[in-house]
Amino acid sequence: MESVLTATGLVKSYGKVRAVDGIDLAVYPKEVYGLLGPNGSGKTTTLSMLAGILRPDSGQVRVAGIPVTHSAARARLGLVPQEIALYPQMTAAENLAFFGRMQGMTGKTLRTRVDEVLEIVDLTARAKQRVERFSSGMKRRVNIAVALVHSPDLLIMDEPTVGVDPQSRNAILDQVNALAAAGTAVIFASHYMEEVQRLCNRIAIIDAGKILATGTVRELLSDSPSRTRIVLTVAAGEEERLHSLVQDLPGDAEVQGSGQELHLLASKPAELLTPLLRAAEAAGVLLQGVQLIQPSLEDVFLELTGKALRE
Amino acid sequence: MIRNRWSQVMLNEVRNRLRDHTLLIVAIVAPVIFATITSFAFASFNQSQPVHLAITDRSSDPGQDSLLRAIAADPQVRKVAVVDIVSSPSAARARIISGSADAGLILPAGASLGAGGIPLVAGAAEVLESQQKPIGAAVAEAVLQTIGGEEWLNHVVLASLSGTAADPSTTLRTFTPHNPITLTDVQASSRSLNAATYYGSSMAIVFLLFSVMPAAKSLWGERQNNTLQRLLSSGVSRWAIVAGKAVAAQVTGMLSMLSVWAVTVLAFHADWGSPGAVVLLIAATVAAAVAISFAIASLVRTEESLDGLVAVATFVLVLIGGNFVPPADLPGGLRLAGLFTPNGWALRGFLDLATASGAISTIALPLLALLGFTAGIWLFTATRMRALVTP
Repeated sequence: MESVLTATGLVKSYGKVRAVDGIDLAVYPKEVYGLLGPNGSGKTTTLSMLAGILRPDSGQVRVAGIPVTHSAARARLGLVPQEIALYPQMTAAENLAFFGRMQGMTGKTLRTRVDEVLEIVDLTARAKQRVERFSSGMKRRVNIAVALVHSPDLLIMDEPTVGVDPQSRNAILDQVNALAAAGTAVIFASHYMEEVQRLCNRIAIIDAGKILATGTVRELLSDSPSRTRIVLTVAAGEEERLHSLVQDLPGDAEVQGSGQELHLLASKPAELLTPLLRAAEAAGVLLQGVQLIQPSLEDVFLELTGKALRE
Repeated sequence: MIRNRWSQVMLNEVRNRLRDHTLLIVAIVAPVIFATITSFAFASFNQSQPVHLAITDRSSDPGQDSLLRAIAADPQVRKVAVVDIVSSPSAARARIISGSADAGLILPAGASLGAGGIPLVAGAAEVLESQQKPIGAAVAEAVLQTIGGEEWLNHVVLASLSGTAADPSTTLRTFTPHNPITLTDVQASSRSLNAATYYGSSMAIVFLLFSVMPAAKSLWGERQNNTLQRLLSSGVSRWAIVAGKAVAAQVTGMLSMLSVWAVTVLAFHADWGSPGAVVLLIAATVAAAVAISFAIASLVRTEESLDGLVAVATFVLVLIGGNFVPPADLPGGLRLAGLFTPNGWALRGFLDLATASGAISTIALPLLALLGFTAGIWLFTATRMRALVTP
């Protein structure tokens, strides 16, 4: 399948600070490509270059094979900026119509599309209200709608759910899923791990302007040195016996914690669980709880960057 | 349609300015109030107050005042002066000191009106001048010139006076024929400049600078709304964005100046000259102001810096360009500096238009200068376009 967007060797520096340091990526139709990274990791700078707003120091971006500097390329992409990018004194429909005209749309085609997009974001009833009177969630939806008005092949979304209530967030994520299902390629930048994990087919973990790892969620987790966490809970008075029990287990499990709750970090948890349960039964240790926690993207990120995602 | 993106930006700008009422305020309300206040403030400049002259002669015979009465009744004299015949030179002096006369005119003894209305004068006329109202003495001298003509003048200027009056508020001086003021009819080919016209156009330029110079601030509005990056991502060129906003500012600025023009003409009878030429000159003046606005905006990074620099630039331009002090009253260096300001050329154009024939050809040079300024400033701005239009 031919990629909708390809970026090769993108570099951007501000003075001595290298904000983006050699990013390569390709995004395909129907794909939601996640850019996961903390604030200041270079996501927005990368997206600005992908959208043709910012000129890279080196490297190039092509949309459908056309350099993004050409207006024909930009006509095929829609940008949802991190901040609300609307004219507050204009109505939702006027905002959509204005940006549609900026994309060369006119007349009935434009009017019909404006109605369609308002329907998509469920704002038909509010079409003639000024955006300044909208709630934050509604503004976010118009913000997305504006990027959709010219039916782009590629949608670039920069933290589209920041500051949005859970209900609106779910609505936005559902819309993104629907768009991707309809054939639109989506680049979805976020520092919310759960959003990226829920939406994205492929994910790039970005930090300090570099892509540290890329792949599907499964690929990232399986390639990661992160280990499964087994949480064992015992009744009061059983702590010492539990401790001595886990010390004798085979394998390389790392023991963390103390008291009634112990954590075992194991790279092969299945091989550890059976001997653990047998040993507990044999020793007469009554386990009140056994919980397996798979490594998350958060753990993967921590392993790769040495810092938490929301820093 | 892609070609017309700048016009879409312009229409959007105008619509938003209409919606938040700034267009109405800047283009109509404020200029109308401004023009009305300005015209009222300077209206008194138009009302030529007649000069009060106290005239007498050195004759001791009050029956021999035929020449004095002829002067007082002369229609040309009555256009500019109210003439009171007083009994003696000391009475004339007293009138001046008390403020009831602006100047005194004292004919020599025996001055009378001969056959055929020819003045018969033997001796020198004297003019009593008030230091507070020097124009009175000038008018008195002109009266002598007008009534007597060259032939009579020769009689009048026969002798010189010596010394000055004892009273420091009046000065006695010799009448000379080389008087700068003559009471001749204004020629039909030229028109006089009234104060409403001068201050109307001058203050309209000042108002324009203050109202249009911040035009480029709308770029900060786009930044604030984050719409600038969206516009750029949709493939709109930086030039199209600037062009749309500049044309919107041009429309606003022209409406603003046209409002001032309309108010001063309709309500205060100012005469700016040929309407076609006035509109042309207004368009060129606004274009230069808009160009300066965007050039300044390309030099600064923050809205606060823009406000500060625009304020400084506006005051400097206004002072150097002769909008507060008429160019003729400025020192030579400043007059020369005024030639390097678009508002200086604009003012010159408006004054030329108001005082000369009023034809477009009258303002050819100011128009060319303004267009040159505009083109040069935009060329400079073009080199800073990326800095000017950056999200």
